[in-house]
Amino acid sequence: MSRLPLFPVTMVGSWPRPAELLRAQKAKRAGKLSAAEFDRLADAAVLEVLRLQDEAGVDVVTDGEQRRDNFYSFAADKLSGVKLMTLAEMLDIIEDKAGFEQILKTLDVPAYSLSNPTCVGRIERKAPLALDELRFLRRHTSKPVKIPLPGPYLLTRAMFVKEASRPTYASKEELSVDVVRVLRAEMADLVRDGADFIQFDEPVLTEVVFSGGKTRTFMCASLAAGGDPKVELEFAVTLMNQVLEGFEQVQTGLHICRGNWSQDESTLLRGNYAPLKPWLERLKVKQLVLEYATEPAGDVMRFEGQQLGLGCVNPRTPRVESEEEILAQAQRALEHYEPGQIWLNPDCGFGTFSNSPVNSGNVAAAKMKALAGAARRLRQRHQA
Amino acid sequence: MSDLRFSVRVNSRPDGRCDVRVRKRSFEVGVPLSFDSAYDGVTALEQFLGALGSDLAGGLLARARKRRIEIDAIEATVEAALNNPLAYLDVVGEQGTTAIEQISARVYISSFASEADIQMLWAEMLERSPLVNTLRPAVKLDLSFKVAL
Amino acid sequence: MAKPILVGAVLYDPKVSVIWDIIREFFEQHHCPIDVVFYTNYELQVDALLKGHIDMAWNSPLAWVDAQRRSKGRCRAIAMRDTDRDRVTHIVARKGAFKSLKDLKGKTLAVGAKDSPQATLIPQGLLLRAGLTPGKDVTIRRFDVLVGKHGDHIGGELDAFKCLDSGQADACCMLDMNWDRWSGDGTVNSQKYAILATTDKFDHCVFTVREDFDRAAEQQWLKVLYSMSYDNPKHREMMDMEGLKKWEPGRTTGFGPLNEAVEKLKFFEGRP
Repeated sequence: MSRLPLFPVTMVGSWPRPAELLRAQKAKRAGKLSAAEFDRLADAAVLEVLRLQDEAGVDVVTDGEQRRDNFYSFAADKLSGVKLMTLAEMLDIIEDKAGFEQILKTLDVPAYSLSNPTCVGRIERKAPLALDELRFLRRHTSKPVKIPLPGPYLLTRAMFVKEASRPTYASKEELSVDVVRVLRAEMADLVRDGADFIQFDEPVLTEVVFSGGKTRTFMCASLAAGGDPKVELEFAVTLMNQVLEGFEQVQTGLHICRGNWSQDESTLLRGNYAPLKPWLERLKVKQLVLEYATEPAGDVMRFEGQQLGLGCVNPRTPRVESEEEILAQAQRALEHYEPGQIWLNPDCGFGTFSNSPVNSGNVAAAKMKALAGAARRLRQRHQA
Repeated sequence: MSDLRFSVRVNSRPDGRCDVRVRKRSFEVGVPLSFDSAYDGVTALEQFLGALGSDLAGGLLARARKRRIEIDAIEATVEAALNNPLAYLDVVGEQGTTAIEQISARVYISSFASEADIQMLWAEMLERSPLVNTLRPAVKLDLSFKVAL
Repeated sequence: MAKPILVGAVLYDPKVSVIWDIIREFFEQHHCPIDVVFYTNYELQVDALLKGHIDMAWNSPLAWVDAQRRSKGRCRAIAMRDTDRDRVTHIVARKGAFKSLKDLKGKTLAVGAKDSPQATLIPQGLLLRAGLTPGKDVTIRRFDVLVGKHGDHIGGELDAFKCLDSGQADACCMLDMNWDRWSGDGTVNSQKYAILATTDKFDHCVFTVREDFDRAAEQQWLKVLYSMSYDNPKHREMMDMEGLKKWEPGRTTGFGPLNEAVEKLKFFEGRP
């Protein structure tokens, strides 16, 4: 990567898609629009997102995930053995519907609007997951490029739907072996073609969506024993480190969020990062891209051995944070990190799910501009 | 009172469930009410909510067809607030009767039609819905829709 | 078939009836039929037990103390969960805010419902031991969720913590298991909050019978109860719902801290 300034400004990934592209996405899925025609519209949308990032002063750019339906379900198009199923379809086959119902209700979204890449056969790369995105960006920008990829734990948990996957894989652990293989092949392709930053998305929310927790009540709730997330966290760390093994030369990141579905902050999962700390610090990833601009995430804390991708604007709020607010947030991070360890980014994407973006393009652009403005002032303060 | 009547026939089964027969079709209904999230039947109360949700979704679709407005999908969630559930369980010391006080329905519509068109369909559907108009005087109805692609 | 044993239980939520249905079915299969009678609060359940309307009661610790008080010691504790034994409640405060419990003088303590043994009564007993009178030396901020159900519902305890977290109290009371769970799942930021003091160990719920309950019926019932095994996959889900790994004999040695607290707080004063 070309030399970056202090406090590099980057996106987490997504940008709201234009209505025309959304329409095209639906038409393509329904077989009413050719891939070439869709690409033509998507190319134009990506160029616009690049232009807006340039204008805002973003240092490491993404393609706004314009080609993707959402940050992980797009994998269904690129992998064999994976079928994109709406949650409405999944409700027909899964045993435990209560967990799904709860989450849909909390998020105020219909089951037909959420699609899950469900494993229905042996998984194999039909085409690279994001190489086409990288190559297009490379042709159209000289800036360093970030490619977000769904993390191995997320993909494994999401794709393994026992009612559909069991004929091929006996367990999610078995499936994870192939997921790791696919992601390692992808990493090799992306590194070879010059990706500057590869970020893995591992939102905690999916864990909740797919854990299928029992909702029956106990005799006396005050003594009810809670589930043990340690086993799952251990699993997630193992998978992530297997993917990263041997790719030490490239800038990597892990992004964790708590749901980025609606502007209603009460739908977010609550709780700070403390329970995750022992696991996150064992990840061989260079940077943790964390949400800190939202109150439920708690105060900035230090993670040993990793840079911080500091979330300092909230992608879900209509109000644009002032540079002063961002500076104050950076100041809190500087209590725990050296200036050279801090990147600035929004808490999450602006359009994680193509059909329910959490903000308009205008607000997103203004927020990125504020980030870049704050970064310039930070550089003046901290440049030796 | 109208002469137009609709009827179904219900037969109990040894397992505590019922078979409902109507014309050439029949469907199964479970116990009246269950608090067990693992109960594997559909309770009478849930059937009732399902009927209301179907009335809303089907009603909207019928209006849309009539108006030639394209709708890709409709999804309705219906939720009832049940008063005095413990009285149903014979809990000593509980008072009141077990009854639904409020029903909320949220209807999601996937369509690129204009907001004004959708609003019109919604109003027309509500005006004509037999279940909505029957329930309105009896329970608090909170009905809303959202366009979600 | 033998005459069913009548077991009383207090319901704080209709969903709790489901586990009792499963237990009833288990006893039925083991040829020891029970019928479960639900009560809206522990006072009515203790009334029913003492009047002989039911044979047995699944009592909260406070209901046990009350039953013993009203029957002049003529009740027996016959079984409890492993998890009912040796619980403690923590007084939780902001890390570093206080050195000892005595520092709460002039401060506010958030507690659960007024009749919650774990979230209100026993911790107030702890204050008294430290020479602090609740309501006088320490302001008590109470969260009366479902009074009459003796804190079975964790809502009051959670509200008490939220009160501390929002800065409206200086400390709150939290059962050990809730401290573990909430600091594990991020509800409680364990970097920000710490345990200031801990109560003596106490016991929680207990199956209670009158002294004159038929011993043969009791033995048969206990035999079926103890036959539940966590190693048996068929029993495991039921036992998970009951919140235990093993049923243990009832014991009364664990009600000391509660007895002491209700006496010093004059909790039952003016009651028959």
